[in-house]
Amino acid sequence: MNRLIFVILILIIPFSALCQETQEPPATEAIKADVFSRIRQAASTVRTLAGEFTQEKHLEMLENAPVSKGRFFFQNPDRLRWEVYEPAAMGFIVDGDKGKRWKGQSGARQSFDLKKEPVIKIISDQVFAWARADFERLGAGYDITVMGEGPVTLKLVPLSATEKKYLEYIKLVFSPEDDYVIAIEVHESGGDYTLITFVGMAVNTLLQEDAF
Amino acid sequence: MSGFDIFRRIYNLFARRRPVLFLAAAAIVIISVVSLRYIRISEDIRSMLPDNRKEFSLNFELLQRAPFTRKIVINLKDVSGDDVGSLINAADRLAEAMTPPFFTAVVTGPAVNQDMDIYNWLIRNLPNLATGQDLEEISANLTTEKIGEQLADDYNSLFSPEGWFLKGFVRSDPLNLKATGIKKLSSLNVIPGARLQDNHFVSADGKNVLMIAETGVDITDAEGAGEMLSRLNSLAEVIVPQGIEMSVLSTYNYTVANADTIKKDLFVVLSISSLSIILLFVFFLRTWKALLVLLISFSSFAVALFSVSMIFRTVSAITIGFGSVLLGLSDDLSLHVYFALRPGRLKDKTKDISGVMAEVSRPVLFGGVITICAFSLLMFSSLPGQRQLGAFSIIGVLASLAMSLILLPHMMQASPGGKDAHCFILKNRRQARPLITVVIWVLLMTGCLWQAGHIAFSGNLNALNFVPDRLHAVEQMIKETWGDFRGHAMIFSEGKDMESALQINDTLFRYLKESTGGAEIISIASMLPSIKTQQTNREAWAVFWSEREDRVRRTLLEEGKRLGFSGNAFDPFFSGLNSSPSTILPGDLNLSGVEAILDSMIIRSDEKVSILTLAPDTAEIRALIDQGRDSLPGVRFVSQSYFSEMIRKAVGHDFLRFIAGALFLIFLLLLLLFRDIKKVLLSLIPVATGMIFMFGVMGMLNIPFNIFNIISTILIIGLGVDYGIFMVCKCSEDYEHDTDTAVLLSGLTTLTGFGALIFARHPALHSIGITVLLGIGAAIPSAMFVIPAFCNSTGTSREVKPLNQ
Repeated sequence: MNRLIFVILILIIPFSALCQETQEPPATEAIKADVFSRIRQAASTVRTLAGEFTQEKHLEMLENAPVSKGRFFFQNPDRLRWEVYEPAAMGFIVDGDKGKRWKGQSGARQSFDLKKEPVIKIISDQVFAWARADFERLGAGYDITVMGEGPVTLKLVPLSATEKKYLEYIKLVFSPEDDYVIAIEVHESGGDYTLITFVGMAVNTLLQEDAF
Repeated sequence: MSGFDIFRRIYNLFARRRPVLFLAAAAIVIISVVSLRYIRISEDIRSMLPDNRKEFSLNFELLQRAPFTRKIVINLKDVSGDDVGSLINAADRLAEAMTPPFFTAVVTGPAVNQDMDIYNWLIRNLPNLATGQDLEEISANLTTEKIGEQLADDYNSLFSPEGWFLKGFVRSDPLNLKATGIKKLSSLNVIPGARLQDNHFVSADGKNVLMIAETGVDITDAEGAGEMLSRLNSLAEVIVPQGIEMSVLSTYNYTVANADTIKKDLFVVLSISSLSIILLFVFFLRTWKALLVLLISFSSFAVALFSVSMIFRTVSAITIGFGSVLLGLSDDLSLHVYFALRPGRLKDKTKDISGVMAEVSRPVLFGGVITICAFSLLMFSSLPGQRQLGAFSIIGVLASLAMSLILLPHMMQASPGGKDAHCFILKNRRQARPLITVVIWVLLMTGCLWQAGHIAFSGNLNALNFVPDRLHAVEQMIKETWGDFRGHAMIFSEGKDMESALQINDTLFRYLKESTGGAEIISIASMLPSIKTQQTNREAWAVFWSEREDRVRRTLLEEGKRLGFSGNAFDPFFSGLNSSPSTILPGDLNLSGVEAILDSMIIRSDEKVSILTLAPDTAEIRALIDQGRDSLPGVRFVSQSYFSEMIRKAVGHDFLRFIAGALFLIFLLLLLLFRDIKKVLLSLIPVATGMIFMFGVMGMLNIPFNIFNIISTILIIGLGVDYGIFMVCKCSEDYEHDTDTAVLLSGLTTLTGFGALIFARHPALHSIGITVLLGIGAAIPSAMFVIPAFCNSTGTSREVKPLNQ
């Protein structure tokens, strides 16, 4: 298969964004630097994140916009659990350079070496980049603009021509405290879009060891 | 005893014209020696392949067509525990630096064509590719229940991390028909141990990255190969960081290793053999005049080598290596002349030198002629290398014979000093208990004959290649890491054009798949069937869906609606079903990774097109091809093991022919010489002893008999008969020229010549040395002890006369 395309496409999957187009003028570079700085500072205090998310798919091929539900756990610096439990159970865990994935309620967990799972590695690297507010890394692949400051809303437009064929833009909405992302919107080139909204996020709570 | 009077006359003729004789001889030798520097030496193993049957050269050429034969496999291994990314980075930088003239292309992974999506390509071309068996499997998945399950999977996959990517396929292929196509891709997996990461070949453990390079250097060009590999190493020193080990495996490594080893061996062998022969002469002959014998040996060698270089375009390094043996062989004849004329020997004799020459010429000439006859049989060999060796040996012995009988007597007379020198001479005494000698000999021969039954013929040319330990370790590592992708058997489907070759390839693939399951068969048939097969597949596909489309459409819509799919969700699927794709042609397959494989598996020539299929090199696959030969016209099987088997059979056939021919010729010549069957049989004792002992020990030690050992056997026959002739002449006729000492010294010089070959690291040279060492080592004592013992016990012996010294 054309793995390169696959990898590029997978890059943006879990980060669907809010669907409404905002009209705010782009922030100036100074504002952008200030916003980035605020987010960096707020994110630096985050050790753990835990909460639920809903994923709303607006696809031409579906009659309605089905909603899936899942759970999200993050522990700084390199632990992540992304789990969908409705309509079907599936998910993965990353813990350092190792991981596990599963499909179905009773699906056996398959261990993997993160180095051998480029797709999950890219997803987790992206999540870690946002959780740590690593704008240098994000800026290398996207043109980032600040669309609003209350709450902070960023728009990421892909720089790569290949990626542009499939992806129009990603929008990230941060919490009022700027310390984590509360919503992601992914706009595809064909008009389909996906919303991921995080709810009930707990910051710096003690996570159970078996979460990872 | 009687002699050849002509040599008396020849001696007398040149006695009055010595300067002319010396000048002529010197001119020939000097021209030969000077010309040696212009000789073109070849290390090409093809000189040891039979050339009388087209099948051999064709198979050898086809073996060179294996996808990796002319490629350089480079493995980068991480030994520092670093990320695979650093390996990939090192591979990319090294590949970028590997440029012409040494490297023409470097591949680190399948070529990526970003505009081409192989999943979509497979879905679009399934009508061309799906076989009857594939349709049966698809049909089994078209029940309402199975479709429902598949759609549920499709729906759920939309929420997975890969869902965004998969939604397009859910629309164009809701029934997951592409799985049928993906299975076909596996039959193109040439490197079973490779997975792809960032479009690079990465090993399963993530610690190795594979690179495959191409070069314009000829596979037999040792010098060019050496320069190319040196260039690669120097690039790696600069580019590949510490913590990453580079290993290189290619045919070029073997070429360089063998050429280097042969060159070093030649130096060692020629040095040791020359030195040991000089030491033997110093010990036995103790006079400067003895150097004349050596001079004749070296001159014969130079004349033979020069003559061979005139006859043949290149001279095989094996032939030159064998020259060291000839040094030991060619002095046999001159030694007998030397001992007949040695200082002090003629002091009290009534015969003059010309009379001695007439007497000594008879056994020397016959010995030489018999050796030449034995070697002349090599001229009928199917191996060009053996023919060259035959020519080399014949010319060498002829030169030695001429110089020994014509030049040496005059040189000995003309050279100053040594008239009173005392040689080391064995005492001439009657054996005390000849019967015991005979009994011991019979027992030894019986034991050896019993062990000789265990000897095996080997046609494996690879076993005669020198493989350094380091290269062997790399071979093993590559095999364990990436699979045995260099050791496949090759099956060629040959046709007059692309379409006919592809049709044969289709038939072959179907046959192998039905017979073996096809798991280990690498073929392009699954991705590039013939036009005829594609047409058949399309028709079957159309019929298949015309019978099922309405039902499948209804089921998809009903089950899809239940899950929430819209009414037009699967429109791309149905439009695809009804569109007939154009025929796949080789040029259309510019898919990721597939194009390079096609290039190496489709071989075009002016006369025909050959499609390559790779299969495990096992007896089972060979048997399958043999069994299906009638139904597989145009199919040719080639593999290393099969080729070895062909060589083994040819070796066995040649060997029996040589032995029978040599023994028959020798028997006739001995009969002509002695006119006495008893003496003929006695003369053959050293030959029989040498051969039986050699086979016995080789059988006992499990040393296989190879193509080079045929040469050794011929040599044992030639030399053994010489020993026999002289000893029978000594024991039964009035021939008194220190024969025991001459036989011992000539035998020892031969042994040291071969002894030097034992020090060769190259298996072929080493093999010659070890086998002839056994044969000559046994022939000498049998000549010196067993022949006199038989003569004494059978009454063939003449009266022993007092020793003249």
